[in-house]
Amino acid sequence: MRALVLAAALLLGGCPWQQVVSPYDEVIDKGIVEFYEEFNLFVKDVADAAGKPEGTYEANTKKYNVLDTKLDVLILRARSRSQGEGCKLEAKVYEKVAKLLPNDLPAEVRPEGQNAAGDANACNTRLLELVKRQLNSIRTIHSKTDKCGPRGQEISCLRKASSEDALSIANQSINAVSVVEAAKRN
Amino acid sequence: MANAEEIFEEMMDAGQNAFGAGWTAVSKYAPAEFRKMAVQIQAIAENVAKYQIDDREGYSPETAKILMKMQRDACESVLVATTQLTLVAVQKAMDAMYDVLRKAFKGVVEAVL
Repeated sequence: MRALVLAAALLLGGCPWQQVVSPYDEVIDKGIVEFYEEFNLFVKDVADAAGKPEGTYEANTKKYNVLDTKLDVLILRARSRSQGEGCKLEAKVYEKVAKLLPNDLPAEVRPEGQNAAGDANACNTRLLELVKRQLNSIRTIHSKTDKCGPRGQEISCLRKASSEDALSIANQSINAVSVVEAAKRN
Repeated sequence: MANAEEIFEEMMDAGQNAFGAGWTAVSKYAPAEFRKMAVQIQAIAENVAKYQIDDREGYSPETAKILMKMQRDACESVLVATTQLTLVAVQKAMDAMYDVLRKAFKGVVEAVL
């Protein structure tokens, strides 16, 4: 019993209780919800205007920059708490997925040794960076690959079908940030 | 004062309860997201097929290529979130167990230290 009390004394007084996840961050939680609303509304509006001058990429570059900057602010906040170790997947998750997707899994998420989860704050940063990549991909579709209008007079646009699929995919990345913050909050 | 066995049982209960709630979040989240991915990949293939019949419908293979890259990024998001949700559950279990220890030994530890 005496040993147990001493162990408890050490545990409670001597060593800090290990944090395996970054603490809940209200700014990121609310920020990503606001981003979701603004981004979804924007993409739907742009798709509705496909084929019209107001639906071109050139007419909407400012809005892309606003959305991009909002994400940069959230990324900066998450990154400022990170210790630069990078975000790693849990080893067992990585093993299973690596078997399914042998050539498609990004090397940076590979767990190294026992430090499988890497830096918990870096995972928050990574989730937000992935949302930024999604925004940039939609920007590329809008500016380069989607075209509307009569042959020979095509203009840049975001087609209805592209916008629906792109939004559905991008929302998975946004949802990932939101779900993790909600789990920490509850 | 509670004995070690009682404390152990209480800690295990607290941990299991916390981890249980966390695991429910993971098990609901991950399969639903992977199902969405499967549906999405099928939709991409269908839209390219529509475009190849009539280029005013669906979207081009170039757009599809970017959408597939987006889907790969979304997959990474889901995997990172799943790992994080598991870790949140572990953290809650650890916190719950620590809380039991802290309450059980508070008086004794204060006397020892």
